[in-house]
Amino acid sequence: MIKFIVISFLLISSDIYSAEQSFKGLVDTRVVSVEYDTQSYLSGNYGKFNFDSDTPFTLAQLGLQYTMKWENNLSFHAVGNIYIDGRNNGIGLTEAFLSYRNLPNQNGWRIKSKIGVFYPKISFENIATAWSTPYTLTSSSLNNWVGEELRHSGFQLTLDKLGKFNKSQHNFSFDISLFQNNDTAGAMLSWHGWTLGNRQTLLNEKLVVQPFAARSTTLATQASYSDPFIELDNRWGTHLTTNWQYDNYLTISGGIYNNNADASIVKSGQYTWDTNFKHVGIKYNINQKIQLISQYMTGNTFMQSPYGDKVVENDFNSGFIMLRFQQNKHQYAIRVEEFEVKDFDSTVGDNNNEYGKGITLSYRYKLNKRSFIHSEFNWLNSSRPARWYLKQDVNLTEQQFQLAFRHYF
Amino acid sequence: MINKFFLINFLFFNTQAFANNITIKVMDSKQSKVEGVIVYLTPENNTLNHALTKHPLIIFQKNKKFTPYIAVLQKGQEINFKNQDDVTHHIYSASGENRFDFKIKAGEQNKSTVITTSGEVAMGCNIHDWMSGYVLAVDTPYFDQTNSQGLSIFKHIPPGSYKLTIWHPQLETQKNEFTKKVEIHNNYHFKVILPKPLLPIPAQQNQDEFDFLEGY
Repeated sequence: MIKFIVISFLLISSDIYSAEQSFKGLVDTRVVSVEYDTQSYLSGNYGKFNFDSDTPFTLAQLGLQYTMKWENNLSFHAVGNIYIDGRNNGIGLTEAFLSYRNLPNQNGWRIKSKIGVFYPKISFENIATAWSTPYTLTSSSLNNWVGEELRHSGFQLTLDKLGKFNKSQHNFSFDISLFQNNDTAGAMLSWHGWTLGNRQTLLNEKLVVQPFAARSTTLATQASYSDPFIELDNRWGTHLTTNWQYDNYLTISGGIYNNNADASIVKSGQYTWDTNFKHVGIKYNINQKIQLISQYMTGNTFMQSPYGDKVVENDFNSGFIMLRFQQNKHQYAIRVEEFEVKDFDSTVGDNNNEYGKGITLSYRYKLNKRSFIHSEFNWLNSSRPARWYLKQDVNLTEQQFQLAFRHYF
Repeated sequence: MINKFFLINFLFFNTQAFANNITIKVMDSKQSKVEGVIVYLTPENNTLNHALTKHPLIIFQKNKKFTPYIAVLQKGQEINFKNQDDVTHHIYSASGENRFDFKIKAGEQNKSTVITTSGEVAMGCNIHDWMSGYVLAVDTPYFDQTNSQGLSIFKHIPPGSYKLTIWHPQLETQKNEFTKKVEIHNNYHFKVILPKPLLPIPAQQNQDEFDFLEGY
């Protein structure tokens, strides 16, 4: 897919001089303190935060966005990220796509499309440069999973209806995406559960799989890592989303995701996971200063042995409610969330059950237009029987404090 | 004596012929003055030679808003767009004959377009969907926009029959206008009461105020 994008990009680049290029980015440096978490899920453990307890001063994100826009409403976007935290360092692309955005017609209908590798339209939090969230230093568990295991490699077609052309305050948007390279989506959600943080998986990265007991028995075929953006069955998944915006203070969205995987395949240590979920979100400006954001997701994922029996089957759900209060240079945010994984299979040594709840308190101070001081406290309590495989307590309460300097350029 | 009479008569006639000052006050049904509506007078006898207003109409893009939100110009007149933001805008009009679109870079001051057909020009930005602005192109040199007192003042209007039109995109009438036939033979003061109150003007504001949003 990336090869296709690069070739298309080069072909269009013959018209390079009539195009407008831009670089944008975000530098996010932090001091992090994590309690009661020996190791992060990213290190193959069962800690729910992306930083380990001995993480010192960190470059939590250096996001770079390159955009080239042509006069014909076509543009190319490449988003790269660098993470340096001493343990899970990474550098690479997170998205690369061509985008077309037609002008609306006289009745306010507009067609948009994307082709390449891009985020599914789910998150109400990760809306700023390089998929960062301006509200908090961590994405909710729901959206942190989107950043870890989901990416559309394919095609998206969007139909917008802008109300202002008919003096209406209602705006609608309908999207259909056809995608590949997401056959393992659900593996990490099953094996380490829901997590909280700001770490997006780079397109060139693989994820460490937790050392649960069945890895040496029933699931011995599974490699020690999961490749989140791999195509195993050559089938197309679908994601349908819709969005209703009323005036400039209410947005409601919903979507249905189905990666349409043929769950009977295992290649090079990677299983295909048949993953389906539904998601809804609301963003409501209660008044000029207070905004409510809430999202909920519920779904199912399973994978099979080569003999056709379900080895892993889980239902999952996660939801959060966030309230933001903004006054001049100050923004205060409180987010509460709850998540769950229910294990339905009978595979011994692979208990994926999980229940957790968390609270996030965040304060952002705007130094100037581009720079922010941001501090945040997270409290997260989770019960996960799989911790027993590592001789850890099933119940874990983690706390994290972060102080960040963020600069958008 | 006769000379004096002629002279006086001539001055009086002259005043009548070329110096009719017309004041139009626009009010709503609650007798409150209405600011910012477009008021124009179209001669019924359209043989008058309409001098073209030469200076361009200037529309700023500031804080990701069109400023002014509503303006009026004469058909054939030019709109000059001045981008005072530090981001590119993609300005368009999807209105009938007056369709146009172009990108205007941060700080760019001299993008212009000539409006050749009378009627509404509804403008937007294809990058910032909440941006919205209106220009009404009229086929007469006698146009104005009511001030904070709800007043429009026209000077030196030749006598004759005119169609007085009040227009505003938030006026919920057919074609967003309210018309009235008027005879102008002297200095006049008209009071116009709108049949419906104006709908609220859109805030031209995104739901999220953050400066570094992308199209996620």
